[in-house]
Amino acid sequence: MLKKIIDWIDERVQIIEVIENHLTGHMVPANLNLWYSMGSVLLAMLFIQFITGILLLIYYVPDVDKAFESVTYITNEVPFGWLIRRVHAMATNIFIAVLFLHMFSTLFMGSYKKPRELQWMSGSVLFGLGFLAALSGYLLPWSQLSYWATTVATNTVGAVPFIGDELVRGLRGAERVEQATLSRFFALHVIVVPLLFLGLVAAHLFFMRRTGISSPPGTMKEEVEKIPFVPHFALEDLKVIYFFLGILFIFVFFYPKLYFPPDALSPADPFFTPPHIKPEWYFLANYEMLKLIPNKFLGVFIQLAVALFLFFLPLIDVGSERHPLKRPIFLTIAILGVLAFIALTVLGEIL
Amino acid sequence: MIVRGSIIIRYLIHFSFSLLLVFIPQVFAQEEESSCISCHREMGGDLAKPIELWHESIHKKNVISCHNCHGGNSKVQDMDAMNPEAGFVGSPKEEDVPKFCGKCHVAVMENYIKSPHWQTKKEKHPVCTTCHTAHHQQRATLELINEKDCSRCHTYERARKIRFVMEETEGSLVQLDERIEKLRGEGFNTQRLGDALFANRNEFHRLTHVLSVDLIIDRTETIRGDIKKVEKSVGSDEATIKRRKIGGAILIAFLFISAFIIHIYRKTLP
Repeated sequence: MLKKIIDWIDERVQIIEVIENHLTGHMVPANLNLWYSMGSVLLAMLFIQFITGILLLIYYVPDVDKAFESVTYITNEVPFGWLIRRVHAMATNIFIAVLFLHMFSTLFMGSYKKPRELQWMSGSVLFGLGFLAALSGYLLPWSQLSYWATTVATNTVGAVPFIGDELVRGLRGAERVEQATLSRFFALHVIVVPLLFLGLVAAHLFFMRRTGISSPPGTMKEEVEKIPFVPHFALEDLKVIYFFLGILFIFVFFYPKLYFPPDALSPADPFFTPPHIKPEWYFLANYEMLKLIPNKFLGVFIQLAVALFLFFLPLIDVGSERHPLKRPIFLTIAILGVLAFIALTVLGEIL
Repeated sequence: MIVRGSIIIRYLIHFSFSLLLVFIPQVFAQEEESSCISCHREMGGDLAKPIELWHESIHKKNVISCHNCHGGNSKVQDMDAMNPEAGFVGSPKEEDVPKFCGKCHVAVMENYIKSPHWQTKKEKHPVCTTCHTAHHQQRATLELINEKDCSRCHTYERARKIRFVMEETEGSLVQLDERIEKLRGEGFNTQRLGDALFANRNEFHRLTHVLSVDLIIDRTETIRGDIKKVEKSVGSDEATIKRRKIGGAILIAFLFISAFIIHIYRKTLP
């Protein structure tokens, strides 16, 4: 019966040919390591975010008087609502963490170099988009944490000379965080960011398909043995995805307080600032840098410069050598950058 | 060429602003202050002392600020903040303290004025602040009934009895409070349970102020019945958490074992 259905489809759209070309017949280097599965983990997490996001959207009400109540309803009354919400919140953290790993591995293995510049650039924008998704979703529960975190985050844009105040008003849609802000962030989180994600992920995968997967540095392309993507490498991907799902569910079932601190459990109160409000771990480095640099604009400018440097890296670092040990200047800068990021994150957490 | 250059510059500006949106960190939150707090803090010395004490009090924790008790206009940054016409009362006379606190703690005041503490014929009454302090109030517990404090005015004998008959129920209340807080941390909506416990605790604590051992024993039975109902609900929610964790552990084990099996199977492929 199944064969008949497949044959019927194949007769019309040659589905078997597509499968052979893109899955079973698609050959990839046999020496790909664990780091090459990070992209698949990201796709899996993104899929989870889409599904759980759609389910949350059924009950969520983007109204300042009802948002917190609707989230409480989801968590307490909707069947498995607590699980859906926890997975959506925690998968964001895993997604960002794996984004970092994916970027770092690409950086160290020099996989951004010609002909994969477009892949790196689209990936860089996806990296930023991941942060934008996290930030815009943060306000939606309309808790004390989300309200004040968004208040201070939007305040930061005020550091831009001349038009800072206008930018803040533009972001918030009002003088302070209120209904207009919630509506904007809601639209951004559920429409703009997901559409951009879909487009950019498609472009990223298209670039990858056209240029082919790079083999680890130090191996000659011609000498590398090839294996079919399905089942060989797909199984490797599946293994790593299951591993990260296991990590995700450890946090979901056993450590919910890590991503829902007490301030996330109280409704937003514009007249009471909770003490010691801190950003999520992935913003801590930026936060600490702004605290350490006395001039707020300079702090924002430096971060912007670093982001632009990373984006244009394939056009700056044009040498063909990919092995990190044969690129001492690059390796020193990269290691110092990673260490600075870790140090700033740790400082942001403890200070 | 110039056109292409301007397009690139425009693109860079747009991209910069997009990144700015992405990389905005969250910084320094500023607490909104009432004029009472800002002025008294500036004045320093004894006049700033109430602010320091209040910062560590249960009132501060529950967002009860100066003007909630003392009245006045906390938004005005001059002497008009202390205008009696705006209901400002600086330091109430001692005999007015029960009424001052009783604006909010109505039931406690009702019991207190029936008690020997208020009914005593002695010139100096112990008032709310005698035991609870004026600005450093903490969450009321049985620790407030202690030999050192009670013996300032009378022997500890009667107070000891009161504390003894209340201790078991108080222990249940404290324990239940901790359990409800844990449920809240797990994302449960504990509003209803918290309100029920709050009502029970209030009902129980206001008994203290009557200072009658018989009445306390008599009413405690009823209150314990109500506490048991809350305990039952909390127990049911705790059982739900346990079930979730068992389900979670099975799912996690399945995922890790599956990953391992895939790893082994992959090795067998040519």
